[in-house]
Formats: sequence, structure tokens, C-alpha cells
Amino acid sequence: MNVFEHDGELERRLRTIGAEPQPPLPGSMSSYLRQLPEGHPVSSSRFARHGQVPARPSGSISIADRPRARTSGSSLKVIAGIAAALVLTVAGGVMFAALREAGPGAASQPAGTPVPSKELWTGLEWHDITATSDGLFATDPWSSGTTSSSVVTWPGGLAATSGDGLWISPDGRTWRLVAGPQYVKLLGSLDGRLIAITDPVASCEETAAGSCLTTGRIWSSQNGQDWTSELLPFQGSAMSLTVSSGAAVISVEAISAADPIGPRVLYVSVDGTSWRQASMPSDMSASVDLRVVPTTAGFMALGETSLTDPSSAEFWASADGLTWSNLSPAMPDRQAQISGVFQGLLGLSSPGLMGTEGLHSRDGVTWIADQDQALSALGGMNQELSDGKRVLVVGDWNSEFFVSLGDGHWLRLDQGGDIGSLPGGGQAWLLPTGVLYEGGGRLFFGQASAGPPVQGTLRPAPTITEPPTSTPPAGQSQPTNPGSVIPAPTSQPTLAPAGS
Amino acid sequence: MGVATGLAAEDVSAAFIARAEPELPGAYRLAGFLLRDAGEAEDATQEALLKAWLAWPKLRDRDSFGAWFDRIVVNVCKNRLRDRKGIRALALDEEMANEVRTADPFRAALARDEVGRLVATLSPDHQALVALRFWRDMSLEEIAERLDLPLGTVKSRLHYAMRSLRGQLDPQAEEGSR
Repeated sequence: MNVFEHDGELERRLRTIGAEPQPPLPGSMSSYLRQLPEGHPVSSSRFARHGQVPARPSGSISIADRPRARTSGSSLKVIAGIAAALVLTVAGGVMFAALREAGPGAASQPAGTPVPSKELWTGLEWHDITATSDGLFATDPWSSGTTSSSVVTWPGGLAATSGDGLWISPDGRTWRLVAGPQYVKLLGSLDGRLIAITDPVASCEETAAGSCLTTGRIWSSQNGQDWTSELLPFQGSAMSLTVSSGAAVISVEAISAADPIGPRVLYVSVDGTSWRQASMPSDMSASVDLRVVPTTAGFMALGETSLTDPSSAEFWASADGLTWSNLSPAMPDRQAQISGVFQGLLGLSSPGLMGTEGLHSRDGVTWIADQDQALSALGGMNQELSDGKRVLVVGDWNSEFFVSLGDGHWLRLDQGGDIGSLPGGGQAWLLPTGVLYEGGGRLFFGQASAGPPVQGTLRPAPTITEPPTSTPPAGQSQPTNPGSVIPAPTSQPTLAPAGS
Repeated sequence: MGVATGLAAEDVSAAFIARAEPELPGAYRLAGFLLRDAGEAEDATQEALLKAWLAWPKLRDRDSFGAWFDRIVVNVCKNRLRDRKGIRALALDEEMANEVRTADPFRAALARDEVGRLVATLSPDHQALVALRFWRDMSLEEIAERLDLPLGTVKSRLHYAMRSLRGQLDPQAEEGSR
């Protein structure tokens, strides 16, 4: 059957299902919608022109102010999208590779970018960098759970893309919007260069038979300011960019006039300018949703080989990205491992209803289970980040941070700084020197500490309590009263119905 | 379209509510079909609302609210579906399993036709495509906008999804068509 030929009977049956009467919208939904602005005032000054720094809101948004969702356990989870996690992993892999290339004391490391002397962080010292972030992460209209934001490191410091902008930073604390490629889909660092891929459209329908339109470009820059670009050296849509072991791998969904649903193809480069097609097993190129993640041994890929069996995923490994072979990792829980890798992680399984069961691996082959239960207090509502070197778990509502080097042990990070408290429900980006965190309309940088105690104190993030009996007028947040702050919960808080 | 400036807080709230309220039935329906659980669909829609409200000041093109909100709903649901992959299934006896299947209105609607049940076997990405295409009646271009995918990718993934459904309904016929 031609790929564009419709299966009328199958489509009719599917549409019939959708045409059936549906349950009415729960009444609590409208109540919840109306409570939202009251519980989450946002400063109208955030309606800023592109690049303008948002003004400080009248007060930090308290978690206790949030309207309540209906049930426990699955409510109000503000998490990075799956693809966003993959991008973060890509970014993390880039960071790891760059750090490994540069070394902790490399001369190319810019001043003011201290790399913790020990791999294992012990604390985060927080600073509000909204005023020095030049609008980073403040102008992305599609930021909620999408792939549009990523942060990478290169010898010049850090680079970030969000929405249609590109920012650079020497240290993670001060950011500057620069003129560069816009609408960057994938960002990475290789061989001392920043590389960015813009890939707006690739479709065979838009061209005459025999060729496909390729409008995507690959950009490169050594200083983050001056960019050169050329057309992507392939026909198709770039789906991911992964850097590890001094090589970059672009996963492409190949498209040609002859095969408009072409297979996955990998292109590899060691300099960011010349690209070679990788040699892949046939089942790997035919797999669906192929994910490539960095490991200490190079690369690992995961793809679904059967659309009907969620556990059918196969693993492949490569040291250089060019030659791939099947990988049969020894895994205590295959489903959990698949879940972890699907989230762009290589070191943590997804916590399930049966409790947090972390699995760790740094090479994709050897997996070990958690040796302690540090994460069990968090429940399953967390953001999970990995850079191939460490795994960071961010407690969604209580702004707690746990780190592991993949040895089965977790450490809860001490937190300090000069910001008072960190709003919950934000989004984090893992950097080699710390953590970027956007929450409550502010951008924070947590400088990682490895050993010495962090300076300053941080009030515990408020946790969800009983629903408020009254809400403040729109536009006013409830004051954050340290005396009323409840310590971090030992289990997932129970949320009351939205309408109650 | 355009950037709102200098709006009073109550105007901001009213503008958000005015945009969001008409989208709720469709969003809830989309979440219901994707998650096959009315309660979790309600949770997911509320979660998407919260995310939309927190990001609302950043949305410069207000006319695109519907597509933007749909994308958030889809991402929330896909995350929840992927999270389920790490959850171990518990064995239920047949009677209990039937009760579970039919008690939920979305699950019941899907269970009336085998093809509805089979959609749950697809990957979260493919489930989202099927839901948007056939249960939200969206064009391929609209789906591409919502999922931030090239049109060709939407077509290819939809093809994979349909091929999988067809193959499960009639394995022999599908084998012959390759």
C-alpha cells in the first residue's frame, strides 16, 4: 500500500469512536481555571518586548498559593517534556564531552567558570540572575514542555537557545543575547565550536518529483558572535544532535521522493563541518523513535522495533558514532531502563507507583539498582536531568535537589545563597558548574559546590497545605511567611479538589 | 496578534480565561482519549492549564492559543503515558478487569471497537497523532503545528501508526502489503 493511500475502513472506525458522546467537562475545571490567575499572579510587566528583562514581581509565587488539582499523585506536575529531556541530555553530553576535552584546568576554560574539583556536588548556592540574563528563557512562547530550550557549554563558556534567540554566558550567571541563527532546533558544541541546526521544514511534497526540499542549515561559530552556515548535508529532518567522545551524531528522519517515510539515518562529524553517514544495522535504521544518548563509552541508541510491544525496544552502542552494533545490556528491569532512556537519561529509571526504583548506568551496559532510598520522599513528581556524568533529580514542588554519580547512592544537596527561597514548580537546566532554574517568573543560577559549605541560607520551599479559604485579589500574591513554611514533605502531598 | 503591553492584572487574567475556556472541552476530550481515564484526563488538563498560565505572558501570538494549549496538553499526556512504562502492571482477575475497562467513559468508548483498544499499544507519539487526527479532526498541517514536527514527519508517523493498527487487526493482509 502506498504510504499516502488512505485506509478508509480503518479511518472510519477510528472516527466513529471519536464521534461517540463524550463525558461532559467536569465542573471543577472552570472553577480551576478561574482560580488560576488568583493563585498565580503574574506581573503584567512580563509582557515585555523581546529581550527585555522582566521586572521583579511584587512577591515570589508561593506554592501554597497554587490552586489545587483533583487528586493526589498525578496533579500539577510541571515537568520538562520528553523531548526537552532529550535535548537536555544532548546538552549534557556536549558539556561532558567539552569538559573531558578541556579538562578541569584547561587554559581554554574562561575565567569565572569554576569547575567543581570533585565530581560529586554537595551544595547549590543560589542567586537571582534575572537582571543579568538579558531575557533568557523569558521570551519563549512555546516553552511549556517543548523542545525549544537547551543549554550547552563550549570553550567560550555557555550557550543557550530559547524560542528564537541565542544567548551566551561566560559563567552561567551573566547572559547576553547575541545575533546568531534564529529558531535553532538543535544546539551543540564540538571541536571548540558551537554548532546549531535550524531545520524549519523538510518535505517532499514541496518540490518536484525526484528531490526533496531541504531548507535546514547547520551553523557554526567559534566565538558565539560570528556565524557561518551551510545547507544540511542530507535530505530529511534532523531529530537530535548528540555529542560524546569528540564526535557529534545527528539523527535524521530521512525523506526522499522515492521514500517519503524514509528510515532513520545517522550522520557523524568530528569537526562540525564535514559529515559522514554511519553504518547501522537494518533493524536500527528501521526502528521508530530512535533516541541517541551519550555514554562514557561513546553513544547508545534506543529504538522501538515493534509498534505493538512497548517492551520491544532494542539497544545499540557505538564508540565513535560511525559503526553501530547491537547491545544486550544486563538489566534488572528492562521496562524501567527503557523508560529512563526514553526520558533522555542514562542513569535513572522512572519512579513508578510501586516506589522509586532507580537504575544507574554510565556506559549503558552495566546497570545497578539504588542502594539507598533518598529519593523515596519525593514521590514521582520530579524533573530528572542527566549529563552522562551525574544525574540530578529536582523535587518538583519542594525545590529539593538530589545528585548521584550513578553508583547507586544519592545525595541531597545543601542549598544556600541570597534569594530567600526558591519557588517550586520551575524548570531546571543542568550545567557543568551548577543549575539554571526558571520559576516564578525569575531566573536563578545555583553555583555548584563540591565540599565546602554553601554560603547563605535558603528557606525551605513552601509545600502544599490545605486549600485556602479565600484567595487574594487578582494580581497580588500571598506574602511568603517563613513562619508558616512547612518543611519538605516526606511523601507526595495530597491535593484537594480544585473546586473545593 | 501582537504583544500586549501594560495590561492590568485583572485584564491579563480575563484575557487568559477568555482564551482558555473555549479550549477546555476539546483539551479534556483529547486528554481523555490519550490517557483513557477521565480522572487522569482532568488532572492532565488542569496541569496543562497551570503550565499555560505560567507561560501565558510569554505567548506573543495570542491567536495561536488553541494550538499552543493543545501542544501543552499533548506533552503532558505523553509524559504521563511514558511514565506508565515504568509502572509495573498488577494482575487483575477477569471480572475486576472488565469493571475497570467499562467504568471509565473514555475507556468504554475505546473498548467498543477493537481498533480503539489497539491504539493503546502504540507509542505515546503515535497515540497523540491518532488522537489529533481522528478524534480532534485536525488536518496534517494543524497536527504539524501542534507537535512542532515537519509535515513529512507527521505523515510518516501517522503511516507507521496506521500500519501498526492495520497489522494487528489483520496481520496477514498487512504482511502482504509490504
